[in-house]
Amino acid sequence: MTERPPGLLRRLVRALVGPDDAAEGREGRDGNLTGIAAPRQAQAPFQVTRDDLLRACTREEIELHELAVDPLGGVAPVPFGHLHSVWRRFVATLEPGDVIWRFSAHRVTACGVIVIRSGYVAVRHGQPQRPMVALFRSLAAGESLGEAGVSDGPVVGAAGSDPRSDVHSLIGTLAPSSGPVVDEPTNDGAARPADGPERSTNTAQGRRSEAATVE
Amino acid sequence: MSSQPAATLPPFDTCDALLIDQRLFALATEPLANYFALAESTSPFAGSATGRSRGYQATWEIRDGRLYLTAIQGTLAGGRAGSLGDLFPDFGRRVFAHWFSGRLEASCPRPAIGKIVLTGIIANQADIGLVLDIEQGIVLQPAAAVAAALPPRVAETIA
Repeated sequence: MTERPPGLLRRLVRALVGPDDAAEGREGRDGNLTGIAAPRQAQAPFQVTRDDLLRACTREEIELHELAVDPLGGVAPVPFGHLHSVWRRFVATLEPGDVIWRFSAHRVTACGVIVIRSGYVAVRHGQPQRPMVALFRSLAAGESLGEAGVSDGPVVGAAGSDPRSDVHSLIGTLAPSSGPVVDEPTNDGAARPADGPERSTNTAQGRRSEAATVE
Repeated sequence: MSSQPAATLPPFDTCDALLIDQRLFALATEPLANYFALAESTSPFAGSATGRSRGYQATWEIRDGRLYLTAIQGTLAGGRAGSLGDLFPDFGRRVFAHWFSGRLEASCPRPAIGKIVLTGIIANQADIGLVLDIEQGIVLQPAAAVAAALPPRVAETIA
């Protein structure tokens, strides 16, 4: 049997779960990939870097911002909807002094696919910890970064709103704002996480903060 | 709405089904893959040892500008037939796919439409004719643009 060429889906999920995960067999997060032998590669799993950080948020802000609403009742009205359990696990990892930041990370895989992840990450002593990825997408051929909105604005799917107007309000927010940097996570001498094989397309400009510390 | 998608079809025999206004499409995208990854969970469905089959076929629907998961057929790892309720216990009829952002590419499986959902869709990349951009479960294209891109209804197609 000839070996099938790597498909977009496999590249996409591998980019999401990280090659290390794949090499450890955890690629099977999706049943599609359980039978795919993933060669071990010297690639680091996805990490949030300081350049990916957008703004600091309080837990309350996030839970309000990410409240899922669906007019047809296809999701429970809880933060992150069907991903609520992931949020709860993320919250359980927070430690006193942690600051939750929203991030949006754009990476270019070795295959040339632009992968966008956004979500939240705890910054501890200036160092981003393991993130909660709430949104993931790879840009298909013909798509541009400007078409790939990342929610840093209103709640998508809020009750009584036009979903398309919600979404369109998010378009273009990928590019960090040009406003002044109000605050940045303290470095505390921590080195910036080494970039993996994926190349960040973010810039450090426009990060803004409403400093909030987990108590 | 793009008419020239270039993405590669998933390397599996059976594609998901997509219903839009009573039109049936073979979906070349797998929104559940994103869910399993974001939820940091594994699929409870038993795929084949070769990875050739995912072990499930999902049915999606675009309704009111949103993407919903409305059914899933497959065999769970224990051998029991699985359903939507196995993945989303409180949502046996309709699940808003707010986790999905990306491009849906679909083809219209004209032959044997009546059997396709039950026995699996063989998507043909050459047939891809519908591309929808989704952001957090919401269709970005205006409803009028989507409607204009749809082929005749299934019944008309069969006839």
